[in-house]
Amino acid sequence: MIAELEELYRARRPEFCRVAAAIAGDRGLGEDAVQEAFAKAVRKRRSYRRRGSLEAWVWRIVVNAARDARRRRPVLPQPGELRLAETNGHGPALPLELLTERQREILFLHYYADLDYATIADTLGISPGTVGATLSTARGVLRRALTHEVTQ
Amino acid sequence: MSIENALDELMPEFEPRAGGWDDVLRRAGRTRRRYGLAAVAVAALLVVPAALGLHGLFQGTPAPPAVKSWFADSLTQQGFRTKFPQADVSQAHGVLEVQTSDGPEDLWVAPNDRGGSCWFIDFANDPPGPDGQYGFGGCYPWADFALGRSQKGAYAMIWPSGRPSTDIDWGAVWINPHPTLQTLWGHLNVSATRIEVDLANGSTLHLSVVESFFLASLSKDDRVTEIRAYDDSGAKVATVRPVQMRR
Repeated sequence: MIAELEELYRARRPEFCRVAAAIAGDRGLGEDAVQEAFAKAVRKRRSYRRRGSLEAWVWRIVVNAARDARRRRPVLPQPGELRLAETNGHGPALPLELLTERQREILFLHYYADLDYATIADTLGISPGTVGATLSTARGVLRRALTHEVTQ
Repeated sequence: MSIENALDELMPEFEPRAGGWDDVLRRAGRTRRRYGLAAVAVAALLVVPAALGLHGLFQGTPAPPAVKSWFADSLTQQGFRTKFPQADVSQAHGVLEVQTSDGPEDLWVAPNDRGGSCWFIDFANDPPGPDGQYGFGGCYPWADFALGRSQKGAYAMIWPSGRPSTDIDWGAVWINPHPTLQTLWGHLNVSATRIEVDLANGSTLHLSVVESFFLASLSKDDRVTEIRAYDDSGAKVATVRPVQMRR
């Protein structure tokens, strides 16, 4: 089991970090969340019931760790501040503040980690159909916002 | 700008990092050590200085499928179907974990249909075999008999204590895959929070009682001479001595 976790970590760490950082809103917090999440997975490996994939089980722990990291941030920037800081003033920012937390998480898991609907569903405890519908809605919201921003 | 490009800009990719896995393992071990140190500090105040199980981290852990399978099948497939109670597999969970030189050793428990508990002990680093998890266990009530499973097949064993106590049922055995270690385990039928175990070499172990069970890892050559149970007021509530230890 530890060997499987290590293999997953070595193969997918950049993707885990990217998703965790996006959820936490900070690259350093995201990296730390991934380290803590894998440490927790090692400690709790015997509670993995093998009902779903090991990867989905670990993703669930990583997402929870990233959410916790975001909540522990001493000062949360306002969505507008986040956009300005992270786009450095070049080009239109992604108006993530228009999305719900679930929409954002599904978006990150799909785009940053290239996870399929089934794995995302297993990670978040929802159905694959809900993943597809939520992702479609999120894309629509962002596409309309980006188009509006560019044409303004 | 496309959504993909905007997402790339929002959170650039991470680079592979050397030493990351070592850091994971350090963090995984650090919590255990911290807990162990804290436990030892508290234990010192309570004059319970040694052989503590790390049950705080482990207690309540849902049993993995291989352990559940043992509770569901092994106790009833060795010709003892009418003897052993039926375990409620859905409630199988971890109770005690002790650190040994061969890695963590775990005690799992599931309530049974006779108002008692079935138990199972295994080493966390032992991989499940083709027939399920290796280890050994039994049920209360029916305390003087246990069944095990190893690479060499199923086996049965009589409690080494010779006969069960009415207040403290216990056993101490070594198993082939871990030849330098001896597992001491037991179940109390009286209300107690800790026990003391005297060994023939003159030392005394101080163990916590969790869900009426205790667990310790001894050297193979250790010999138990007496076990005493204490309640939370410090009063001694039970004592048992082995009639004769078979070596």
